[in-house]
Amino acid sequence: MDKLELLHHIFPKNIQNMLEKAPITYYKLQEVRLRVNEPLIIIYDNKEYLFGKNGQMERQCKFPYIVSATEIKETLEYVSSHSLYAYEDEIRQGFITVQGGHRVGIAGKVVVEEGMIKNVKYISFLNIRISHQVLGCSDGIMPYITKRNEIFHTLIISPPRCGKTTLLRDMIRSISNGFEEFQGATVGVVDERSEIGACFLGEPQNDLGIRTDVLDCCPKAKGMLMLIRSMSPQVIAVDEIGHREDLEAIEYVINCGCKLIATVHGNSIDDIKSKPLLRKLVQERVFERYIVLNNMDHVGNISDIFDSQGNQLYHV
Amino acid sequence: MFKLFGACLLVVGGYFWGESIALKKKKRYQLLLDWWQILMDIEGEIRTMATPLPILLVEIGEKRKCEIGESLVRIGNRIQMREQLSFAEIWEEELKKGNFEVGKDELDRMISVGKNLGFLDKTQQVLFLEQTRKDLKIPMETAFLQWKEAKGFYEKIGILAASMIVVLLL
Repeated sequence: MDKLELLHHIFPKNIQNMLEKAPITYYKLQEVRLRVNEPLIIIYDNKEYLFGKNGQMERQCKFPYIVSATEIKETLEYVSSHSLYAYEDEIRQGFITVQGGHRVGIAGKVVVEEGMIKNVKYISFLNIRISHQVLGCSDGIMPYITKRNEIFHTLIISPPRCGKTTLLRDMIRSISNGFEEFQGATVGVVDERSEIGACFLGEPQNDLGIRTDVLDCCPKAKGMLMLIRSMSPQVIAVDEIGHREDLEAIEYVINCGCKLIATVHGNSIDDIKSKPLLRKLVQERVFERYIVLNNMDHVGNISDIFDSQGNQLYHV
Repeated sequence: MFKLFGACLLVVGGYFWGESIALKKKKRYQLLLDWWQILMDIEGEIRTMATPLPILLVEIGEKRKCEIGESLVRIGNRIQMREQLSFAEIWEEELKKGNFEVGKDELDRMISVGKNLGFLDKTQQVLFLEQTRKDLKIPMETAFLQWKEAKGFYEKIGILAASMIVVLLL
């Protein structure tokens, strides 16, 4: 079963048929959006398309195919392998990761108990974000984050949907495998949302290199400490830092002599400085390299690379 | 000497005939016991590991080498094949195919489990499975007593019948 075929199987029969017949190339497919009693929409090659009642894929559509509540329910059943209880924690966070590393975002009525999200019921909106591994996308920046077989503490700053996880994934692979000027290092990955390794039954679906250990579905802060104690990594990689406990764990990682590669939501270093929790990291010059992404020309476009003092090392 | 040997053979034969009649009752008890243990396994896996149903059913089915276990393996495999059917439909189809030595009511109760597995949260799943096991305890104990009673009764009948034949023949 190829990747596209595997993806089709999480949809009910009608939608599956439409996606099968549509002229879709897997690597250009970015999102499939299902909203109850609304048209079926896909994001393909950075453009939005709707499906007509006859299954044709169009930019504008007068009589679009309308997604029913039953189809949403069915999709959810397939996505969770008929086992919603197994994805309780993920649902509380608003998404489920499926085989292949695709992230299914969910929205509906949130059940709150004592201020904490307990569950989501009446799930009526699904957003299937297709995971794409872009091998070699970090090749250009590796010389900026390494020096004489040493890795710099690096922070990737990027707005949503600009490819920060894709870049991080490829950086992990390169550091783990090594390249011409770098012989390779043991990398510990804390993959809280299963997006980096896209583990299915414990096996990473994405290539993370030969010296990589993955803690799947583990809270970042706890995972970083676990990895240091158990797997003695030379480099630790985490996605989307920002909570107070993450920052405490980062301090511990750095004091242990491990190198850290992390990503964060933002547009620039100044943006990061404006966030009270992250400001400390910038001011204390914890990170030696900052990579700023945008999606001006294409997703994953590197706009700037800075050092710890804010000197620009690279600019497009 | 030859007559004595023949008589012994007949009595022993009568005993085993009696036991074979009671075998049906034993099968029913064994099936309910397997079912009880499988429910306990499912409950444990959900409680501690939150394993998704397709993997959990195949693992438990393979571990418990029994009739219901075989059905569970088939259910798990069918879900993994991503047939466009609901879990409850696949569960019902496979259990009906099993031809288990249970009454219609018991089979219906087994089928109804499929309607409650999968979509509730972990706590609710565990509570549901606990309750199902509790409900199963009385039928299981009754089936055990029925088997023991039937075993004793038919064994005695077998021995008695064989003894009568021996007397008549002698």
